[in-house]
Amino acid sequence: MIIKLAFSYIKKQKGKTIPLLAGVGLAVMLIFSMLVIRDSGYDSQIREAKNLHGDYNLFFDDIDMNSVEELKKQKEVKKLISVKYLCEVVNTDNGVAVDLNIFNKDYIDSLNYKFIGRKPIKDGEIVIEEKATEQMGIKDPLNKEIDLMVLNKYLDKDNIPQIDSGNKRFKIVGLIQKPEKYYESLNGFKCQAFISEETNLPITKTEGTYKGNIYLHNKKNESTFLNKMYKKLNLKDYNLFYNVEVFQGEVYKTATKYSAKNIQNSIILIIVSCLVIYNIYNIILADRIKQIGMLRAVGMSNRDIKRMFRVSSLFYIVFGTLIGILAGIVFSYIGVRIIYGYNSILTIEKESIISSFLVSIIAVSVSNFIVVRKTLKMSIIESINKSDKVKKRSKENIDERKKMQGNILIKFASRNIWRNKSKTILTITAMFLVGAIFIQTSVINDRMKLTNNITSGLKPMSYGNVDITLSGNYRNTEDIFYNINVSIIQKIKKLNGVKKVEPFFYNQDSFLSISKERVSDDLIKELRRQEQKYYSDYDKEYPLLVKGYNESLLKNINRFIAKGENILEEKPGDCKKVLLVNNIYSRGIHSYSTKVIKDVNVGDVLEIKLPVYRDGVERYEKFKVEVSGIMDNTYIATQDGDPEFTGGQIIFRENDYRELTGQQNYNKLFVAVEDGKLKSVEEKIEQMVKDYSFSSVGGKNENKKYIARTSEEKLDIIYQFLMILILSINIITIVRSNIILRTKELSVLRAIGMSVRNLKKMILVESETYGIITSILTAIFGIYDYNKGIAKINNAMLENGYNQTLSYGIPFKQILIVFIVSVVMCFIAVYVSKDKVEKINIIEGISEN
Amino acid sequence: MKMLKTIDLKKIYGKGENEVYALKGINIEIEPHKFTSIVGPSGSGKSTFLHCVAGLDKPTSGRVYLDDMNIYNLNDDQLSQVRRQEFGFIFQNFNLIPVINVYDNIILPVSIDKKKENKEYINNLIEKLGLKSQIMKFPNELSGGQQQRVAIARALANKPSVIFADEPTGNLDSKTTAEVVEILKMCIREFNQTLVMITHNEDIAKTADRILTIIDGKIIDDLRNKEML
Repeated sequence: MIIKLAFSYIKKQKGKTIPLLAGVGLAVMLIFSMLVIRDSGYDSQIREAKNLHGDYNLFFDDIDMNSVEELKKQKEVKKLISVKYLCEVVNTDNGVAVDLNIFNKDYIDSLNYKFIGRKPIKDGEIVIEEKATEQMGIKDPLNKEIDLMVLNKYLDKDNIPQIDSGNKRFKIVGLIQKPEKYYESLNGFKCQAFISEETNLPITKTEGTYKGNIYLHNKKNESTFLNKMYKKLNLKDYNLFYNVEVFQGEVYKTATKYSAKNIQNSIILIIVSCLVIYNIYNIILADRIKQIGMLRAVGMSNRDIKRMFRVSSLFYIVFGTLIGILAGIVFSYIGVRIIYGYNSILTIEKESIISSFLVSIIAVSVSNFIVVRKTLKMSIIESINKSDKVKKRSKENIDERKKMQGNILIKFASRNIWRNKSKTILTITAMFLVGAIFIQTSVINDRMKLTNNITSGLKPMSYGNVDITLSGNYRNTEDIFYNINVSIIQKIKKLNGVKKVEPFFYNQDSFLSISKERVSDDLIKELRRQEQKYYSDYDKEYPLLVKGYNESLLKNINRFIAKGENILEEKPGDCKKVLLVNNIYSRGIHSYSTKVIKDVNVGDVLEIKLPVYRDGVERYEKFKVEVSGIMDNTYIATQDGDPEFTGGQIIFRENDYRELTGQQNYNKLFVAVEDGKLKSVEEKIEQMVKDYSFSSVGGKNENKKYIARTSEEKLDIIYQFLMILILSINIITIVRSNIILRTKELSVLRAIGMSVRNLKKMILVESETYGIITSILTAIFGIYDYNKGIAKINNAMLENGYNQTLSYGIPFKQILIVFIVSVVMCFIAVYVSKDKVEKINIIEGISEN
Repeated sequence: MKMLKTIDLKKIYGKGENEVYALKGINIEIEPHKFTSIVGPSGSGKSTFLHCVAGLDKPTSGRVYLDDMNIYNLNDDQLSQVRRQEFGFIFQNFNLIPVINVYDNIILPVSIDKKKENKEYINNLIEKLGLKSQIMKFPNELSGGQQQRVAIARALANKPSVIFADEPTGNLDSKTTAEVVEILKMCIREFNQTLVMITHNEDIAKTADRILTIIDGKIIDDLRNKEML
């Protein structure tokens, strides 16, 4: 009987059942969608990473065959694919450099390359990455012949860096391709080429090391396996590492999923959903109180009444959740497409389903408990006579002036808002929480941009009066061959907004030959901190950045010469005169004062080793140079943009550089632009060189490019949209229910002479009051939260040695958005409910009990 | 003074087989400054007639004139204005607004009209209705009789031409009934208004200037009280 009665109410009172189911469904949809979109997004990114880079677990590099065999033997390893790395091949016309390996189709497939053509069989045949040929300017490369320099940079038996090179003509018999997105990866890439074992190379030795992919039986063993093999085979982390792109996606997923911010947001969303369900439940079941009274009057026990409500609650929980999950699946699919923009499969983890049920169980159970408990506490007659009548108490000694003053609509609105305090407080709380999350998320992004303007200044600040640079790509271009020709220089000079263009010579592969005793310990520490694989043990040779400047560039840095003099004019002598930069930026102590050479003076002769191009080959040659001037420590911090090079710098006169190295073509460019033209000029230069030798455009904007809109920001927007949706439903339900519950009262007002228009205005004022109160509360919170964050950041920056700090302020933009959205939401709620007002029949309304 | 007149007033509820003729063509002129009572058995159409004449319920056909104006030719804004300014309605169940106090309830029609109340008139009304000590209270703090007096005061606040009362004493005890009726009559005298009242109470009906009997949606008797006249 109880169950039958419960289902009778559900079936017969569709007008109440449907809104309740909709309310539960929407709240569930909110939570479900939020979790599923987030999980699907991360998984889509991970899947994309696997599609682009391969789905192996670990990658090994620069190891010998014995180590490969050892790795293969490990029980954790399901599959291992290796390829023999030989050296690089370089196009000397433009500097494009590609890794050269022995052909292995399995390896190519494991990296998800698309293969066109055939494998190399004979000597001189090559399979090459199509992107590299594009950057070399070769159209329709298949079956074409190409002259490349075979280049091997290695450490000799004394651990000294050497270069061995020779030229060879190859025939392109195959191409390997990747989607364009692969080349946009922030982690960079290195183009590959493959030859047959039979190929004779015009160099004395090749690396002959191995690289490849490892697939484990169980992904969870990755970390343990890595640590085990580091110890067992004495490997470094540049020898054996995770599938970087996939690993980053997975780490990011875990980090953000379980981050404090995400957990906080999830809890707030659950609270908002529960508040909304409770509100709807409370409103819809207001008249059920009367029904309960009547059932008790005819003899139903309290226990039976509770059971009846439990049955209907179960119905709402199960069906509301199922509806919510189904709607959530549809919404999530659309959401993932919008945010992540590629084909995505939804990831529905059991956590999403559990959370959805949790929300509906908590909200419906709590609402049910409160409504039933409230009702059973009343006497039977009280509950039968229950209405939305107000029990107000007049105050004594009220001032005569406090009679009906002010606009009647506003007066009614303010009275009606507070006639049901709990409903009002819950609604405002739910709206406030959403507004608060929005402001918090939005100001974090703004503060991050402000902070980056200061702290990311390490690089941008170091450029001084240089705005943009153009050079080759660190991995994919061989410095000495990257060619900034006259044509490029002229085109850039002609761009609108360009003030000045200065080409120069630049090489990062040089070394300072000096005894260890003369080198500062801090430099050694800094070099060791980096643990790069091609660097020596740092006891004879130390990294050196070498530049060749024209007169204009030399004059530009004149003010930084601390000791000695500039090298504007050629001076006679046995050695070329140079400017020396004898300091580096130490990350360890955050200082530009770390010396390179302990004790060096003007007039000292130093031995340097430069890559030179002579007789058709690249090799190292040593030269002696005389220190004409020593640059001030501030030079690398504030001019020409090389603060992060871990080593000394030598600046030649450009002709001297040409003479010594044999390099004729400039390979780097400085551009100065007019105020406000940085971004536009930069974009034009990028467009100009996008297919040329993996050119890299740097300068003052380079860090800001990487503060791109992350998917996390887009996800935040989806969350906010979902929250606004459910809040809108909440407000609409409240506005409509306010009209229904007060039909009699509103009919009386109509009878007395209030027009429909004024009635709508009155309801609008009531509704907007919610929005305005919420906006004020959110504004107060927003100002507090914003400045609390600023204070925290400023403390951190001061501790880290920055002098500049962020100013306190008011997040006007966010507050305005919250205000507009709240007001609009409340307006829509009234607009959607206007039919209820327009259709009020005065007599029917008055006749209601 | 405004004359209230109906011409062939009909009100039909439902459709087809379920049609109910609540009013079957009523033609009447309500005399100004007089007390007209309407009597009849339950379901005869008394309330329907009152609602149609007071502009609360649109008739199916027929016309209601206030002087030369057919009130059902007016748009909602205009008709609402008529209800505020020309008519005052007193319900059986008082129907006060629970969220505002007595004073605010009384001047509600004036406030809706966006006018400032005539304080002297309102205070006089409050005094006459014995509500002076109640003005700051809320409806739920008042007795039935007190609430009905507030309802009366509200109906009079805008100095309407016609007061309609639908069983105003139906929920009151006999003592309060007598008081309320006296108050209403006093208002007609003092403020020169027309009163149209539905009542089941024969004693009250007998004190009216005119008694209309409605049965089955028609006026079957129209008695004028010669003594009152």
